[in-house]
Amino acid sequence: MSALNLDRTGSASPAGPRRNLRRRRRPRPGALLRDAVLLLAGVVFAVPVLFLVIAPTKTEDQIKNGSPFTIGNPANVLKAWHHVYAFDNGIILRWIANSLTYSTLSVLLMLVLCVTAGYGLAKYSFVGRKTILVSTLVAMIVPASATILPLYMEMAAVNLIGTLWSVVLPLAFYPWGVYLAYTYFAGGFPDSLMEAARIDGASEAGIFLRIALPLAKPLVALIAFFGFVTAWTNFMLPYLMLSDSRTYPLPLGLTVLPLADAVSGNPNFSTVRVGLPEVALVGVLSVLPILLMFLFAQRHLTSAQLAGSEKG
Amino acid sequence: MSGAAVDSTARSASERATGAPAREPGRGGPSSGRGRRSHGRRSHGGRAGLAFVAPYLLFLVAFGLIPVCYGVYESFVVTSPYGGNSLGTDNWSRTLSDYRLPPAVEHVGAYLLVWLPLLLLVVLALSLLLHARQGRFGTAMRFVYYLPGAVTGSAAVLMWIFMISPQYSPVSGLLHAVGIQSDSQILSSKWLFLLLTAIAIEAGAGGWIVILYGALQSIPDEVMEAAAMDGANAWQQARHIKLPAIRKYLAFIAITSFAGGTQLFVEPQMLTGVDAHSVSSTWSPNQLAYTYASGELSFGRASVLSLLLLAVGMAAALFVVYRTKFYELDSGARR
Repeated sequence: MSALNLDRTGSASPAGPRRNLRRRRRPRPGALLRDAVLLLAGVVFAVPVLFLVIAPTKTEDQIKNGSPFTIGNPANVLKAWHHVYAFDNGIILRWIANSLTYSTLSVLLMLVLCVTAGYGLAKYSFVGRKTILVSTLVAMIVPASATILPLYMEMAAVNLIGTLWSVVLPLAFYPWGVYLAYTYFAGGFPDSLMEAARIDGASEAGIFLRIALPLAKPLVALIAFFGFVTAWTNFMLPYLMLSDSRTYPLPLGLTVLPLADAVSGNPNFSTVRVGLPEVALVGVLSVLPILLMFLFAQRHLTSAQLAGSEKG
Repeated sequence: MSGAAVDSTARSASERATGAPAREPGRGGPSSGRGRRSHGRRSHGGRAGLAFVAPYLLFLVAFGLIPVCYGVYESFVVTSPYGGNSLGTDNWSRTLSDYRLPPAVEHVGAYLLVWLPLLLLVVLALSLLLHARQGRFGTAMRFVYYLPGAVTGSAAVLMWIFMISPQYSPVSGLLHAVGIQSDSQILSSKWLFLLLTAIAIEAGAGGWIVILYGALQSIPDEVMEAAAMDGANAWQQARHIKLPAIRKYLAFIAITSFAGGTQLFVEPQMLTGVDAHSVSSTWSPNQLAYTYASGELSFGRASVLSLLLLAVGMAAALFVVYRTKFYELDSGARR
């Protein structure tokens, strides 16, 4: 038990090895109960995903009639992939590339916008600040269906329909991230640091770039992660803006495959052999980048470097 | 004076939108920051603050303000069946008197009543437990909680249909025990909202847990150490220190979840796609709006319904904002 904690101290947050010492504690009956609750919740959350991951190893018939958690033949995964790849000469690879491009570009732009805006809103007072805050909150809750159509008209007016920017620019508008950045800087970044830097002659831009930004790694990771998920899974926006199937991102491309019919069991008249194992395989594939992002980001999501900085 | 500041920063923002990120503070920064020697936020406010916010402001106007204004306009545009448009309140009266609206509102109301408190409870409880359980086990569990939410689209349809079909489900015993023999039996009953609640919590809780856990991690160690030294037990620490510290995040989760809940669309829509006989395609108000826009080609009525949903979300948001003092820059409160 203590070995685990020591290990975490060593790896997780270089800023403050001191902060983890208090977490070392003797096992108590309460701790056992706590772990049991966490584990039980874990099972509840894991079961549907486990089913999905196992499904591509099975045949259509095994999925429908077999027990849900028996593993089939791993060779079936390859077979399912060949069926998916056969569709339109492997256009699925292009969809994956498109998705990566759209998501990456919008996340980069989003990060610049969110972090600067959140910082400005939290650390300065200026005319219109409150209006922008309220607008951000409102923008956060506007139903997507309320703005998607006017957005289409707007994009048409500036001739961006069908281009990469018609998807990337609206995705980069991420008020949620601005609010996260705002609460982060307002709650965790002390004014005393800024004032000390000013006394040392730093410019406002210098304070942001050299002090605030390096301290905001967890924030950047948080926004990048959720922004990426939002961009990667977004469906309605590319659905409206793009018409050429070669420009589709993955979730939109999947609708071109006759997957819905496979799920609902409707007769499938196309020559493409897409059934339940293929659906599950593509599902696992489309989840992979999100899971990789999670693994990549989570170290930053948990480190509390700000808490350590306050002492300095 | 402020007008001039807005103008200059807006220009630098438009330059930035086309490229060259991260250099923005350099444009507004040096000129506005030069020669300042006084301390305190206000004296440094004004132009530096606006310069930081300007790029985002541009996007806020382009993708927030303009579309909403256009939505309001669109809701008053009446298209005559004989061609030509005029302004009027037809869309509003037709939408409000639609026989499909009251049941849709009722469905989502019942769903919100169960789902929202349950979601907050699950998220808060698991976050606090995880925070008390550092180490690899906790990290692994956090990852597991996030998993179901990452599955979207057709794969999610497949996953959830299999989870709720008594013939396939791993909890088929449970389903049989409450008298459910087939999936259409669940889908067509008035208890459908309970099923949607379960799906939405499984798919949605993990993301919030990550956020709340991150917020808990940012509580200064000194505070927790002091509490432990004063003899506060785990429960007291959670109740009197952790809970107040993450209040803003909880408000944030409540706002966004409520607004998201009133817009419930994807889950019932995917169930409609699987079994259109059992699940109405206008089960939720947002599905009704979608039906207006795509099925009946009435963007005006779709806008009306969307604006109504927006109004509900805004009312809730402003309430929570007011109660939790959202605007406060509580930088002084922490030290």
